[in-house]
Amino acid sequence: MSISQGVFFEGTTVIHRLNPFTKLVIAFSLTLTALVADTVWIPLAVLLVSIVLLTLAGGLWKVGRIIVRYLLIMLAFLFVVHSLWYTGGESPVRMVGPFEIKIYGFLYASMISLRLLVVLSSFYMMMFTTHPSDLVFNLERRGLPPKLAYVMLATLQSITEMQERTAVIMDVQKCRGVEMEGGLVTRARAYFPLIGPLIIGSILNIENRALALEVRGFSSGATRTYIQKVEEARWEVWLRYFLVLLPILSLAVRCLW
Amino acid sequence: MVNSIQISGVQYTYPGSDHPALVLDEMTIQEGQICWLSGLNGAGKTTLCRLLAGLIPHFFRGQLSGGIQVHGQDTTQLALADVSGLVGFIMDDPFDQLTRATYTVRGEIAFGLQNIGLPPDEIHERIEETMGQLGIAALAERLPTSLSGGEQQRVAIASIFARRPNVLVMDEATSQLDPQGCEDIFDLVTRFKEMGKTILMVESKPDNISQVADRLLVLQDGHLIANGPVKDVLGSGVYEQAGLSLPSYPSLARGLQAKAVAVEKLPVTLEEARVMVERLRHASH
Repeated sequence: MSISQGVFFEGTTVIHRLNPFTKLVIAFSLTLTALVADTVWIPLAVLLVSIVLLTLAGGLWKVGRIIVRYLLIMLAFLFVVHSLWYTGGESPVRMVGPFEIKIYGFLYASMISLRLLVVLSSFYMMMFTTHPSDLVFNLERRGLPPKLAYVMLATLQSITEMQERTAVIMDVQKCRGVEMEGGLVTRARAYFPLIGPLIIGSILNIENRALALEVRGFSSGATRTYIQKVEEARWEVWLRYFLVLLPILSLAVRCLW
Repeated sequence: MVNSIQISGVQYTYPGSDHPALVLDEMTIQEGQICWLSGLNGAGKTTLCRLLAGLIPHFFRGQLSGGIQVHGQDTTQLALADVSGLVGFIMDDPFDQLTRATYTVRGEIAFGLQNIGLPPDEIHERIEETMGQLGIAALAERLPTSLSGGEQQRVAIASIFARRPNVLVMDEATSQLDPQGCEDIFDLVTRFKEMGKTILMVESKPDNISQVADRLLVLQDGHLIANGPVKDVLGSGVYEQAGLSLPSYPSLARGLQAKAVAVEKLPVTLEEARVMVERLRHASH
């Protein structure tokens, strides 16, 4: 198992080489820029930037797969509901076959979808290219309390950890003859023998991790020593300043137009 | 010999329980010994380990009375971080013990030293020294979670050992390892003893531990029912009365005794077993 790496994959791309803090700022900046905008063009532009970054990081295909597997149905449902049953006021309509598509509803669904895609792609860009401990160590060096940093790290790692644990429990239950695959009802039924061991196992795991930290003086109260150096280029600092400005600019566009 | 661990009048009850998990009138362990702690499930072995490691009462609350002294210091009065410098605690699952906050073995060992604020030079020095002592220098730049179980356990031990504790408490440290991984850990334990460390091992592989242990402590329902040299405790019958299975050599001797073959002393080591077989062979001629 290599749970500690989360969804990170090793690489030498330009995105991999960025300082983890810069990547975090990129993710937050793009997300906020898309969230505060009230026209679809800004989230669309931000999404294109995210796609370029993902391509540079070599993770476009991976995120594409995640979107198809987990998000596509939800987005399709969103478009259908808002296009056909938009309740936000009078809207121009357009007939598509027998269906009356409400344009404002369609635009609203587009806005939500674009925002979701921006959040997903920008944060995955960061997580794909940043080892969780690098990110946490970097934040700790910038003043984040070690306990909070560790909680953050554990949370990032828990995604893959829960996936691994779920796969193991599913295999065990299958060996016992429990139907884990099939139609919707079969899958829903399969949740019950899965949830119990998953939750109990996770709680025990948390206790063991806490014990492992405590027996290594984690709560000593002493000022932690750092033995690694944080290195970053000057231009990255300027890039971060620019990234902080992006959501503000987006907000300004919203207010002025 | 100096007393490494001294426990007197200890009683501990877990939160929400009305039955004490551990009741120890008196228990003394001398410095530089390997002690094998045995007992059935629920006998209180893990509770005793947690008590010695300071996790009781600092991590697991509950009701505790009595005195626990490690190298003359009352662990109940020390902060947990200070106890962890005196007593190193190693658990059963090597994977669970990895902090997963670092991606090299070197970083994993450094973690505990960084937490107590040691200067960087001393941290580097201790890492190199510990890796050398435990024979894991070749793993220094490897990702800890990608190692085998035995290697992970050695890394976990190294990260504890780098704090230079006087006492090592190992709770089923070999239970999830393959035979080679177990051998490695028992070799390490023997080396720790040579360094003058006191080791308390909860161990479910009697054949291995009986070869290296100096003393055997047997717990039953939270009470210490035996504490003495391994050979004496195994020979006294207390161990079997507690429902525990004898290691292979004493078990062989017990089998012979049951068939009315005269065996004076239970052999514990391979050498003692060889001598016993030789004697029986001579006697039969």
